[in-house]
Amino acid sequence: MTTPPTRGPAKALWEAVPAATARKEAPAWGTTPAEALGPLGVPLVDLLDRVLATGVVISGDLVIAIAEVPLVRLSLHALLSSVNERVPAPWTDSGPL
Amino acid sequence: MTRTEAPTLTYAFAVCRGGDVTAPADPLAEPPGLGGLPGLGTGAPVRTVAAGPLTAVVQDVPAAGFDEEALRSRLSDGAELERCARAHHAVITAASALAPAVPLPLATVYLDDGRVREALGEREASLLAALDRIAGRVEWGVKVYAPTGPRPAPEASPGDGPVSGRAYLNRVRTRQYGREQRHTLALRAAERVDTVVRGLAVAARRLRPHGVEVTGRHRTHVLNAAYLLDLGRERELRAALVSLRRDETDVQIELSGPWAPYSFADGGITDTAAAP
Repeated sequence: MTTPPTRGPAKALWEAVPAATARKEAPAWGTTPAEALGPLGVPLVDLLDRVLATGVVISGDLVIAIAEVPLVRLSLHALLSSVNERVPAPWTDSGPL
Repeated sequence: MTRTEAPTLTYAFAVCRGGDVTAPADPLAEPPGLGGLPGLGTGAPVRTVAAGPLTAVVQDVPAAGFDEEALRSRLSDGAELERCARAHHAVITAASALAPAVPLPLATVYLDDGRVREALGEREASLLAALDRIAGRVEWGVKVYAPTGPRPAPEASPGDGPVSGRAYLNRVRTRQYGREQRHTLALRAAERVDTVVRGLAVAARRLRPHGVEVTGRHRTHVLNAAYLLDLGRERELRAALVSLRRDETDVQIELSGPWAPYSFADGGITDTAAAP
């Protein structure tokens, strides 16, 4: 029987996973350079999945189409493409026979 | 302050239950972390706005830098998008450490505090329900990838001299078939991973899998899922992942978290676009 931590709510867990662990655990990203992991140790793509695509949409006064995110997806695309250009894929299915 | 007051907007990060992050009578309840956060780096403190039973975690931002046009160009710039996303996440993480917090999407900006209160008031019931649902729980991300690199077939060594057209076509067909087969196997493996993790979770949600520009050409993203787990189940989750990685050798499995419950905060707001 495991005894769940009785400390405060989320805090305990956030602290229990230091950046080093999060880095080791999350990104086996072959294509994400180390600098894409910020001080919080969170891979950028995972972060953008969450801060852009989900969460409660309380319509703000400024209409930045976050639900659709065409604009942001475009820039995300550009951002990640630029990341990947620096690390060419070693082998692909469309490689020579 | 000798600085002339530039017009500001109110940027909202997250919503908590009123008493959780602001209790004027109890100085300890005032988040020590929030006020000291840089937030978006505008120089203004991260603060709270009370709205009935709810409290928004907000920051003043200069209207010139955060109006619609400025935000548009800001979020179109990769480096700036990353900076904003990380700043946004840092505040949400800090707020979540203090109390259950419903994360708001990046760039939720109001004209002033009054508009924040109105917006919270309009959504009060669903926000309170969301806060109940996420209390004592955290989000974990699980991603499954299938390697796309071909397993070189032994007979397909191109160094064996001239290749006939038929042999070439056979090789193409074999490779195509192998690719489809591997993809099917990977999808099944992803379903098994999902079933196991779902069994530990109180809620689950599929996020959009990433395209090749994110994953690289050497692997395909077959599962991008988020799970809401009770606090204290982390050990079980990690043990399950160890076991899954041992069993599912055809795919790569990645775990991220714990996250603030980004993917599980929109209950009560029908969000058909985001639903799987």
